[in-house]
Amino acid sequence: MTVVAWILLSASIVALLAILWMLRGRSSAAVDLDHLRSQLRPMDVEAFRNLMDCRERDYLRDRLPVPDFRRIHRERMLAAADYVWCAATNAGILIRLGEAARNASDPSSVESASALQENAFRLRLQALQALPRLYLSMVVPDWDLIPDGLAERCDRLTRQATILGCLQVTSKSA
Amino acid sequence: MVFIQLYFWIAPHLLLAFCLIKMLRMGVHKQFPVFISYICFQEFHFAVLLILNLLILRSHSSVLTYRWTLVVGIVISGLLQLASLYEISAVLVMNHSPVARALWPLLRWAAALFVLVAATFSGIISQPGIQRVTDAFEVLNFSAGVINIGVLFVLLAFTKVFHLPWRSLAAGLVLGFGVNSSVEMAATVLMSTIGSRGYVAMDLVRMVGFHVCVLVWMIYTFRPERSAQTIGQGLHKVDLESWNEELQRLVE
Repeated sequence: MTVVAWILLSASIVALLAILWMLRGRSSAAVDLDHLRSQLRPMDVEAFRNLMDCRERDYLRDRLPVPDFRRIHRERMLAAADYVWCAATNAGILIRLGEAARNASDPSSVESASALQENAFRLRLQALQALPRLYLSMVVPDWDLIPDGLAERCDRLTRQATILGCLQVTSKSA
Repeated sequence: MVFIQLYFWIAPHLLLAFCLIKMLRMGVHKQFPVFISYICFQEFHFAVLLILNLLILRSHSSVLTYRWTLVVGIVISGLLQLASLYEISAVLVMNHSPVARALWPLLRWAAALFVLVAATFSGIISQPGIQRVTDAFEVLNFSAGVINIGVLFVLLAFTKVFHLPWRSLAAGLVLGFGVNSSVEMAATVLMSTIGSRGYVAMDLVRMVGFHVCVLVWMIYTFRPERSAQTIGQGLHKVDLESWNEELQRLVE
């Protein structure tokens, strides 16, 4: 039996196991809404804004030796990526909370839940699109083609994250 | 052995016929018309092959006609299977326009990528020593399996990332396709390695795979649809409205 045949055979078995794993409990698992709410993570939006500030990056580049700047920039982008992950996770939780609220008997609640879910989808999509750019910027700090789009995207993310931070506070005080 | 072969050839199609009747009664054809067309075609193809088989036994038809009918059927059912997966995807993202916009190009790229993968590896599956029609059968089976598994995998990963809920029937259909495609793929690879002496055994493996697929569809069709259970308070209407107002303002 050739190596390629072994690879293809293993791939088909792995594919089947992966499909089973991904479908496991997807359609009937009970959702603990209180547990989900408690998983919403607050974000330090000011810190995130600072990390994404292009002027801050230029300032550091002008003042620091190249190796130091690269190291610090990498750490800053890693921290920013953590914030974006946080925003994506919060959006994911809102999607699931929205899904649960769509089963409500009140039609206006269902409508609000659908709209919330739709916006949470957009936020998660934007966050997941911004992440590879952040990681790329970590490897290539001088890449000037990325920051414009990235800054704009992350600015939107920052504002969205602000709201998610507020949501967390609201849910805690409720 | 002959009895086992006959059982695994005929029984899944009888069960599929019961499944089809139940699905039509449930109105599944309104939600998944392409999938119902796929099942109808499977049943029609089986009936034609059964008749051809009987004709061959009475020397009214040739084995070559049977094999070409088999190959043409595989092409059509492969295309219908792929179309069914697209249909299931459409149903899953129907109410979520931003997700749909992201999913369609991804599925198109995945399909194109896996067509290339299938084309690359088909050379390994292809066997020069056997008849052209059998070779075509093996290559098509393998290609259909690879493309279906690839698209399925992308669809499942996408829905997992975006927490898209699966209605139990859609999950069952996908699981059935997954089992069938992966068994087809594995059997074709083994067949290419063992050679023509393993044809009967591999054919049996394929039939068992399809039988399991039909059983999965039956279970998901006949058991009652369960809506997702929730525990705890969740979101209040006031929360929903105020949170959504803010999110709406920001993401537009």
